[in-house]
Amino acid sequence: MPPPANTRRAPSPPDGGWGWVVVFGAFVSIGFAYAFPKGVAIFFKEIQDFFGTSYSEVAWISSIILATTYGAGPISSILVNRYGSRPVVMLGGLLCGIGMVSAAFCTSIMQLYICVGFITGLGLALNLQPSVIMIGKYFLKRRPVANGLAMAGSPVMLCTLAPLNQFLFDSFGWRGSFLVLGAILLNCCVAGALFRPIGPGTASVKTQVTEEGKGALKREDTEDAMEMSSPTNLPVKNKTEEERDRDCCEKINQYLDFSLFKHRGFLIYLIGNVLMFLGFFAPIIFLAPYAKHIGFDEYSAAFLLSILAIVDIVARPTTGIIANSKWVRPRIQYFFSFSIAFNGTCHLLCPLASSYTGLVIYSVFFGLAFGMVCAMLFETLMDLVGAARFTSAVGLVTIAECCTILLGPPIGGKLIDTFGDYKYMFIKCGVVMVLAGTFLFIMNYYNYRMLAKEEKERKAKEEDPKTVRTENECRNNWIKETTQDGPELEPLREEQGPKKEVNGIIEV
Amino acid sequence: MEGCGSSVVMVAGTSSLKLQRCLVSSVPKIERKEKPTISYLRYPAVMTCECHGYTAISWTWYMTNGSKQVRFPSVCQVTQPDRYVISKKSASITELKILKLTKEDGGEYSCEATFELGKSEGRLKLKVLSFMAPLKPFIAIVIEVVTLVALIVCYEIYSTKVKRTGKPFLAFH
Repeated sequence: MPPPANTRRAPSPPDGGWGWVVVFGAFVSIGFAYAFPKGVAIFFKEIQDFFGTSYSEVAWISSIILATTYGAGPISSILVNRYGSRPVVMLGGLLCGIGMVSAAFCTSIMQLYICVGFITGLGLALNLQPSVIMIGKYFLKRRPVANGLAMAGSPVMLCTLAPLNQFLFDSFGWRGSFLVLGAILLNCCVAGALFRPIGPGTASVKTQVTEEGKGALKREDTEDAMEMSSPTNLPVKNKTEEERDRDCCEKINQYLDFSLFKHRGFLIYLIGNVLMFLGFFAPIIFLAPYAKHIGFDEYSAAFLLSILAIVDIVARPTTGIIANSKWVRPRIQYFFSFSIAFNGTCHLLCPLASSYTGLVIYSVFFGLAFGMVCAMLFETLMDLVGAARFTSAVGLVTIAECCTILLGPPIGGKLIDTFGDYKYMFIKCGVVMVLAGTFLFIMNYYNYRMLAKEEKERKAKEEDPKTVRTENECRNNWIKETTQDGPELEPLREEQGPKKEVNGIIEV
Repeated sequence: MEGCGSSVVMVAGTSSLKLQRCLVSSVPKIERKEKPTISYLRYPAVMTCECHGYTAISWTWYMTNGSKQVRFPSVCQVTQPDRYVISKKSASITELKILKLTKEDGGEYSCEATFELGKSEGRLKLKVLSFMAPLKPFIAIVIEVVTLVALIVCYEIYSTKVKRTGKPFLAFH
């Protein structure tokens, strides 16, 4: 039986060359996926007047786009596992275009929900996940930089889409704008065309052999790949029923790797992020209304968001560069936890700012923290589960995050309405994020220790002289993490894993 | 303070009655969209006028035809009763909905509110476009997308061929 898709190790990623073109494509794709739901809000007032609905009914469109973009993550993962990234992104671009063009001819709000909400949202989902997956396939050494650059697409696209949408709206009204936006979204197909397939099963398998001389890092990858491709060498639990079950499970796991739920790092990431998203987006949504509530005019309030976006654009690639440095990369999970906690602290301090200068300072730090978290959002997941299983991991994570992303702003809104004061919403967001950051910090400390321990045990068992030990043991763990997570290895690792977790959080 | 004397305007809110004394010496201003409303042939168009916080006794809609002001409902309404719908959305909001727009419907409209003290007017513009207007940039962008995709695919095929036939000893990248 051929090894399942998620255990196939990609050969040494090129870390450059066409990879930078792929980063540009991902930049465009990710930018549209994140910026479009926010950018389309410009049309809501007109649509509300046209159909005679309330504002909340129209605002549902944004929520449906966001929910579909995150909720359709597993569908995206399954399709990528089956067909590869390129056809999926091109299909996504087509769906977005079709959705918006059909929205231009809508005659009821329900039709808008379907066309703009579901169809376009699904298209954006098919754009977002494969773009992030492709970065993992093309980069390893410089992956944080690539991720930071690609994620910078979101604020850049938002800054571009906002005035563009306003211009289209003034020229063509909302119907004509949707028609033109459909064409603009077709550019995602161009981004998809740039995603040249790479990995085993394509011609680049030869590079695995020809690039072996490129350094100790890559040598380890190829050896691990060879180790992986002979699963029969590994001691699996030897029961025939279990093997039969595994065949069935592996068939499902080919499409969507549910065995990730046994992966310690994945679970830590999932719980931490699901908690974090409860307080992540609400402050951005309520920043301008908060400024107006204090007494500043509409333009000053909008300027705060512009400051946030500009700082965000700069922060994301910078964070990528910092995360790629040799001091931070082995401990990137700590950096991620720190940035989440930093974000939370900003929110906790916001109610203290009552002057415009205070709010500007808050916006600057918030933009910085927001950019830091977003730049590392997918990088840390790749770091934990490895590029091979990332395809399924990202799908499972996005559908879980979908719930809290949607719940966050309404809970914030409810707090504001109940108390009549914005500070409780900021406090709630701050507390949630500081908690999430602390949880991730502690659990990742535990995870790093466990990985180091398992590494020592495995080294002692195998006594493999070929394993190149660098001076930084954790950097090795990081490399091993990208290879060790096939389902065949699961029972070997999990024998030690769950027992320790039961005993307590920190095991010395 | 100049006031309306003994007149008291009652405004019904969603859940409570707000008593508001008319403290202005002139009639309230009408709020409407400053920029033109844009809609398309054979699709409906909606125009709204609002006087915040005050109740108008009656609303009248006019269309400026050249220099003449044609009043709604007009003679047209008798022959095409389903073309225009004037509805009072609430005490202070009025709406004119034109179903199935034609080219002639474009132009300047005005909504007039009658108050106790007098009349107040707001002017709106309606632009009626055909779908050809946004279709031109749409087709231009679609052509750009198709061209770019074709270019990228051709470049890939070309570079794959070159590497396979031209330089077999260099690593494939």
